[in-house]
This record gives sequence, C-alpha cells and structure tokens, in this order.
Amino acid sequence: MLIIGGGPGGSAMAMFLIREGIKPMILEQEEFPRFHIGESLTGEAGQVLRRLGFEDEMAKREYPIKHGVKVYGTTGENSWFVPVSARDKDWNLSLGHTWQVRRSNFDTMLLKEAEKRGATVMRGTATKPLLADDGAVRGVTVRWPDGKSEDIETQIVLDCSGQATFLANQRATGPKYLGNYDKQVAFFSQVTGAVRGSAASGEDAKDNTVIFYAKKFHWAWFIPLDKEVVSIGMVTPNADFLAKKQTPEEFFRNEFYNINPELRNRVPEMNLVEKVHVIPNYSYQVRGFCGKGFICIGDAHRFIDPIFSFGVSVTMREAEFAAPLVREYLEGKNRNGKNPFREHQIFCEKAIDNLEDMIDLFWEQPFAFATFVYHRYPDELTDAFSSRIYPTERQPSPAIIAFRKLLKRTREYDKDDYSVPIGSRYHPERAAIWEPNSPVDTTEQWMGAR
Amino acid sequence: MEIPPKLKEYIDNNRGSLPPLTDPDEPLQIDSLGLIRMVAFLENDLGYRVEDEELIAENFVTMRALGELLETKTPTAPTWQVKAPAQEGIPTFTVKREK
Repeated sequence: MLIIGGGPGGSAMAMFLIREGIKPMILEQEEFPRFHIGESLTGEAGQVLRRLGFEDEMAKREYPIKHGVKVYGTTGENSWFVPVSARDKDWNLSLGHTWQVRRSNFDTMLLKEAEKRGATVMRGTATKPLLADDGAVRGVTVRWPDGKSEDIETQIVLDCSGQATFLANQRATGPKYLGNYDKQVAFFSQVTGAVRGSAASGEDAKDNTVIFYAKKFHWAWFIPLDKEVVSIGMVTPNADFLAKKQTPEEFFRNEFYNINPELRNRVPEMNLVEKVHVIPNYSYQVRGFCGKGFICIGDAHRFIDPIFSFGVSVTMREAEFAAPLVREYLEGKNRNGKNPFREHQIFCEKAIDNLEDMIDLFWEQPFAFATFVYHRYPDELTDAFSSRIYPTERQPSPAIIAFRKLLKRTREYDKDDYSVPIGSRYHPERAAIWEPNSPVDTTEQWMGAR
Repeated sequence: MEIPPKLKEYIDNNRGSLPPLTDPDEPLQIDSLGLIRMVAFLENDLGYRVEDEELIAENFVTMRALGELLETKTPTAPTWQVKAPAQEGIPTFTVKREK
C-alpha cells in the first residue's frame, strides 16, 4: 500500500489503514517541518483527531481551541457567529470545539505518529504512475533524494498529494476540470500583538477564527496559531493586485485594513513574524478520481475555495472513509468491476457538491446565505460548517436543497463519471455566471487532445 | 404602500443615531447583517413569510422597496406566540451546552 504525500491526508490515511491491519508506506518529497497554509479545523476534523487518539496530545501541545467562527459584515459593526457543533449517535446537536493548528508542527506530529504506529515513511518524489494495459494503476516510479529512480509496485496507490494532484496530472484519473474560483489571490503572514476575543467559550472565545467580509471575493481571515501569533490573510481579486504594481508585502500591508474597519481593532500593528506568502486560488475537480488500483484523497481530486477552512477536514475524513474499503479490496472484494471504489467516489463527490453549493451561494447571494445561516437553517448549517456534509449525515439537508433552488441547480449522479461538472468554469450554467460574454467551449475543445 | 407601524418603529430603532426616516426612498442605512435581523423580525414577530427567492438586499434597502415586498403578503400568527423570539445578536441555535 503506497501513500503519496505525508500531509494530514497521507498521515491520517496511514493511521486508519493501520487500524485495519494494513501497514502502508508514505512517500513524502519534502523535509518536515515545512510551512503550509490551511490552519483551521472544522468540528468533524476534531472528531477525526479524537478517534485517532490525539485529544491529549493536542492539549499538551496547546493548540488554540476553536469554538466557532465569527464573521464581521462589511461595515464591521455587525457580526454573526457559527459555533463548532457536534452530533451524538441519536443526532442530538451540542456545542463542541476543535483546534487551530500551525501546520508545520501539526503535520509533523501526524507524520511522526503514523511512523510510530507502523507506517514506513520514505523521502522521495513520485514521478509517474505505473499503468497496466487496462489503465489500472499498479505502482509508481519514485525518484530518491540521491537522484536514482526506482519502480515501486503496489496493489493500491493512495494519492494524498494535495494540490500537486499527482495522479490527475499524470492522467491516470479521469479529466481534471478547472473551476471558477481562480480569479482571486491570497496574501498571508503571521502577526504578534493581535487582539483576540476575551471569553473562554462561545462567540468571543479567544482562539476563534474571525472572518472579515468586505464584498464579493474580498475577505480576510484571523486564525490564532499559539499564545502570541495569529495567522492573518487577505483574499482579493488578482486584477486588484496587478493594477497596483506593488510587491506582495507592500500590497498586503497597504490593502489589509481596507478590507474591513474591524481589522484596525483586531490587528493594531502589522508586526509580521513570517514572510508574506502569496497563493493564487486555483479550483479544480478531478472526475474518475477512484479506479482500479487508486484512490485520490482530499485536494488530490478537488479544491474549490478556502473560505470555509475545509481542506484538512475533508482530506482526513475521506481517508477515514477509504480505509475499510481498501482492506476489503485487499481481502478480495470488488475485484471484477471497472471501478472498485465507485461508491466511495460518488459518496465523496456528493459531499463536496454540498460544500460547493454552499460556497457558490455564499458568493453569489450573500444576503440569502447569511439569512439562512442566521435565521432560516441555523442547525442545518452548523452541521455543514462542522463539515458534516456526507450522505450519511442527513445531507443534502433542507438548507442545501434551498441553496440549490436559489442557484437553479440540480445534482445528478448516475451519468457518465467523466462528464463536465457544475463546478467547471466551462459548465454552461457556470460559464454564464462568471463570463457573461464568453463563448462556452465544449469540454473536448477545452481539454485538447488527450 | 405604507409599511406596518411596528416595522417602521423597528427600522427607526436600528439606525444607530440617525433620525427617524421620513422619505420612502431614503436608504435605511442598516447594514446587511442588520437587514438579516430585520428579516427575522418580519417573520418571527410580525408573522410575514419572506420567500427564499426574495432574500436579496435590494428588497430591503428603502421603505418603498419593503412596502412593495410586503404588499402581496398577508401576515399569519407571529411565531413569537408559539416560541420565544431570538435573542438579539445571537443565532437561534437549539443546541445544548457541552458539559
């Protein structure tokens, strides 16, 4: 069993496989610890960590405790709060908490623990998949740090390579469709002396995430990383940055406070203790991301928009869902079909479609969205914000169904696995929203010859 | 159309230090989160049902826009007669505190 990537997805995958009695190898090309963005966890990500036995270690490391997300409206005068919540087995809702994590530290903790529990961790880079005549993945070619290459054969490749999307870029999967959320760019750093909430729990808990909304595609985040340091970031359209002709740091320092008046209260001074990083948003969806000999996990098959902090949560949850299926496959189940993991693929696709409907409505109809969160469907949407978005979690909820109605959208799952997804910028529905005057290419034109 | 007196009172009480509105076309000067609370007030306290499709900020920006929105509607029994109204500023979660 080979896992590509030693981030939270790869490490969680390894630890869940070990629980199933399978000892995998993790291939990671970078030396840990390394910087990574994506520092806030959802309620269910916290539950995954508890199931993996990390609750005490998270406390020992003093990761900031997140009770929810406070969102400031445009003028900074009003705010609303989405608490982290939990469901018991009878689906009773209660308040909960999860964590904020400095990723360099968190990812290293998970990877070391995966190794301690029995995974073999190797430094190396997967360069290409080994494909059988029928397209099945039967291993990968690895380049070791000394420059030598070697073929590693395995029954299943678990692609946890994140936005590198190893198997999709190597075309071992179905098509990778580029999405709509690619016109924004994120600038971020870390700051000391930021002003947090003052309460022990609830809306003003000291280590909550704070989101500052400005207008469509302009927003900022505030995520406590430890007792001193807070991760701050700003997302704006790329065009705004290019027009100013400033360095990323100049732009970040100059524009940050323009996002929302409340930022002056929260970040009195820009005492940056980390360089200013810049990442363009890049949304995509891989169709056919599971197949004979492979499963793609988390960002390795889909990324939409970072606004709701779902990255780590989704990848760890998908790893947990996939582990027993991998064991069953090794035991001989589902060996004859075209895609042994098709059910898992649709299961994950449905969940991220629910998330995509949330994100789309948030940007397209923020007033309706906020009314739903605050007033119409508060319980259903705390579920969704805690990343209970899977079909086994009473989804799609009435809230998601109402979103779809407003988006004039239906979701279907019995069609061709490779068809143009709604999230693609070339889906007729979406192309019209985003580029009113642009012609809609056919998928074939856009994909080019494969 | 005239808007219900209770709604006018609500609006005037939620414009910070601004004086009561007199011009039906003057912007309410209530930000979007304040408008969401107003939707909750319309539904919970006055018994109007605002359809999902009507949840666009333009329907709530002036008294005239509000009047036109409510013109077609008949209020039913306000929900506060059935359950307690939402606390100001706090979402109406029916959740239990974690022990």
